[in-house]
Amino acid sequence: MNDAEARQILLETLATVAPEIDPTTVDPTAEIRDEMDLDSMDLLNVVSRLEQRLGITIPERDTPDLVSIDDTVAYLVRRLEGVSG
Amino acid sequence: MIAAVAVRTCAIAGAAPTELWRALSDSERARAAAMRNGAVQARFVVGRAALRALAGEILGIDAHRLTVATSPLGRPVLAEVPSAGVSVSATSDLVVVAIAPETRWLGVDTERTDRTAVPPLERWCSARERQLIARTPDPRRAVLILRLWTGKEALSKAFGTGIVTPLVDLEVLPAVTSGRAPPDAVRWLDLAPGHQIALAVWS
Repeated sequence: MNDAEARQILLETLATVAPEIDPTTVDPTAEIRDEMDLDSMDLLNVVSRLEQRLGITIPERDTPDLVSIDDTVAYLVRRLEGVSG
Repeated sequence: MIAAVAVRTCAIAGAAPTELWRALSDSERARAAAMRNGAVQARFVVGRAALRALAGEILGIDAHRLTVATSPLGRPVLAEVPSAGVSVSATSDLVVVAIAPETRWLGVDTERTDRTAVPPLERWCSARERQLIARTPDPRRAVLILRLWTGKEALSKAFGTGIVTPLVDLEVLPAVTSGRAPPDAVRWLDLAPGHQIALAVWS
């Protein structure tokens, strides 16, 4: 999976968890929780939905890697290296 | 041992009023003004103003002169009273502030009880907590899950570790079994209708 594919999936997932904010307008380098007004339960919702959609498990210890949109995209690309979107 | 703690709730209704902005320090006002999300900004302003007011009252310090620093893990710290515990939590319509003058082992967390889109939280629960959930029928199960979640979040904040400590290891029901915290370290407070509020504190 490449950067563009991972970004598309993440933005779609964020849009389902926080439909009142267009994730494409969010600064991709800023903290997602502040930019999109997400709390820790919302973030777990994002993680659960990404896991379901991508068929991976995102362990709790990896959540510090998921701070911004860019961080999360880089993490997903690393995790899904060699998997086509 | 259970420590003395003061807890206050403040409602949030739209943008924070001017008098609350005035209660903030220059650097807090600048930080709030830079926030692009209005709801996040309102929560920050109401939370900091409430924190300053409560700290001023129970610690006997002029609220305007307090320096509220932030620890590396994002937790508020009172520079003038570094031994005091401080914790803040918020939903879309409520801020909860807790201050324990004599212990840093303090954490508070709140969630709205009508919250929908709750992720499958069983995964972040211990075996005993999962058994408890399985034994509890709806609609009490939804209440129990929010109790577990807020309790774990409050305990995590009290340890000062953020989400780095696996929540599965932060067992709160039927009793706290984590680290140095006593079994009764977590309590649930009935302070605001429609909100679950968990408080973790010990000394």
